[in-house]
Amino acid sequence: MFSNLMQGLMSVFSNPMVFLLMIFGVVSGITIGALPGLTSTMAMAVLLPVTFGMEAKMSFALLLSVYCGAIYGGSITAILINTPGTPSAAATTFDGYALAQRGQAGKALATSTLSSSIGGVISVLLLITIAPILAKFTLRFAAPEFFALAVFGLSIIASISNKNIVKGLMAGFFGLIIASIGLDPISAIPRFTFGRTELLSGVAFIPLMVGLFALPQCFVEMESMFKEKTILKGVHSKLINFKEFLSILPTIIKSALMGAFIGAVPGAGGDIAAFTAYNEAKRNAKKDERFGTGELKGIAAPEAANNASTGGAMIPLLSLAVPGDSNTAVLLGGLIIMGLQPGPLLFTQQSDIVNSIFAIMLLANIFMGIIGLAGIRFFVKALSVPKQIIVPVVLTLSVVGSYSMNNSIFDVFVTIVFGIIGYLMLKADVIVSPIVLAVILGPMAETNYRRALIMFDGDMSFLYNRPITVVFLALAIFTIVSSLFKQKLFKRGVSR
Amino acid sequence: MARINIIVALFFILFAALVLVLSAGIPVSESQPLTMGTPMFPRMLSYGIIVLSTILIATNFHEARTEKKEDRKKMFEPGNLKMVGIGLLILFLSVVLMVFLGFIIAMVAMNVAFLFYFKVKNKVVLIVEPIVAPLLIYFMFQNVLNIPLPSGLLFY
Repeated sequence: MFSNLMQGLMSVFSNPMVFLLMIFGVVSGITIGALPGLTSTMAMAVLLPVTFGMEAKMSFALLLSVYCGAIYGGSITAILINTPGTPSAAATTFDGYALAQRGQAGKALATSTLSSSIGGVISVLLLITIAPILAKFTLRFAAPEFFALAVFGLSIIASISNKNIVKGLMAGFFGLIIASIGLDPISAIPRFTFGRTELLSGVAFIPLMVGLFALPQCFVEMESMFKEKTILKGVHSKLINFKEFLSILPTIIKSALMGAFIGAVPGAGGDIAAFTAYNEAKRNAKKDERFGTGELKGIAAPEAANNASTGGAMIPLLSLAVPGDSNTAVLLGGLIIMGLQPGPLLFTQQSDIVNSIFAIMLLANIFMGIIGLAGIRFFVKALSVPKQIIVPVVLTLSVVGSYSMNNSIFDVFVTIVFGIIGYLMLKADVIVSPIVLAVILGPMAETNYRRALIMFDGDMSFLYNRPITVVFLALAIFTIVSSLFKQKLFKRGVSR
Repeated sequence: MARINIIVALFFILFAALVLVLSAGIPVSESQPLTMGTPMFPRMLSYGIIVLSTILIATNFHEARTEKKEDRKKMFEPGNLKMVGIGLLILFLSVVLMVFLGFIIAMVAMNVAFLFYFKVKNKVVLIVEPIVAPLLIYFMFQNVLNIPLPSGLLFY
């Protein structure tokens, strides 16, 4: 296990450009994550086209650093202005903002930085241990198993659309239809191409993603542009001392382990991990610890857990090619664009890439801690950049990003179309992540189902007489049913 | 929200119907009986959307009928659609302009238009941002990453 990590570290250390990209990625991630409304997914979607001309190692250095940095960056606004930069930082507002209100914003930010960094490192160590074992197991997979795995991946749509599962599933089906545009994977007959050669290979993934994530966010910012102004508070206090750090260390370790395991469950992202860890820390609180009033453990628990979920989410992505959340869905897109196929073959045929990913994630989390502590005052300044400037820059990046994939203006118009669809969906309270998940997993599901039918002469018994297939299909049913149950509980709670 | 859900369901049904109509025109080769055929997958998905939309309508119908007018959630606040519409128009025209005038001119124009639209009054920002941002992005893509950006039909 550690020999793989050492190989990865050697490979990363041999290229100074990887280092520079990691620092750039962490800084950009923290800055974007700190800006309310701009999510880690959007940051990665916008930066993905920038990685086209790079070798795989450099691309991952940028994308993974942005991923880790943005999850941490969300806590800065959560602590300073009670507005979580990303959903994962929502639980940090409870004690982080309360501590900042008491004039100890520096202490709150330092606690969040250290917890995030340590949480991330612990999750990477878990990733290194578990992912290769899982990948070896998947070497036994054939078409029926891959079909069942894709169905299991698609069932995650139910758990990520907790507010309204039916609407989430509708978005997923819409995404599957979008995924069917282009040449039929088995017979190469064109579907819904309207005579356009640009559509023969399907709707390009990057323009679709930039359209669904970046543009609607810009449109929403336009709506509020003439209304709100955010008041910024300064950071005027000491950082955390060693004794305080030692007192929160057990909470960090426990929350990190919890976060990594929750992150590894597809569909359960950093926000669920953070709330669960906060709840657990609160449940185990001593008498003198008052959660909700600026308790350090109340900041450490959610922050360690949400950053630990990043390493956790990479476990199913690398070993099963199933993205755990929308961030890893973007990473999966990045892997595919680079010509890499996650899963067992990635571990056997391109182990150097896997080792580099491990090393990059480990180093990104360490850099995040160092940069975070050193730049607490500097990052806060990013919050004062007006949205009037940020929106045109993001739109310019979106145009160039969608164009550069195939050097095609057609793709830019695809981005605009999906931007409008994404905005309307946002307004109608329909989440767009299922579309991305469906566009990624749809072709895998259709191709393998039809291949399995050919393998078994049209007999569908492979759905119930192959153990791994049965397990994945049962897991898919369980995911949907448990999500429906959770939604019912949630609605009952709201009505009470 | 109930009324919005019903409108969403109706739009999805329309989309599914369109897919069903279009899939009728997809040819089926005779060698595909085992693999369901090319149009089968989108057709199954369209039926799925229709079923889910019907469930959404059924579960929201009663609430939509009994919902008081003042409790109804609006999809768009007054004026928001206009703001976004103008922004979208600026974006669309800039992309069209990019085809003829190339990336730099079109994106500088787009940034200037957005800054004026957002009522930015600071002259330094009005001059520096629209020039620096597109040029920096152009330099990064064109020179560092070797990804060619459109130079425009007029300057080809």
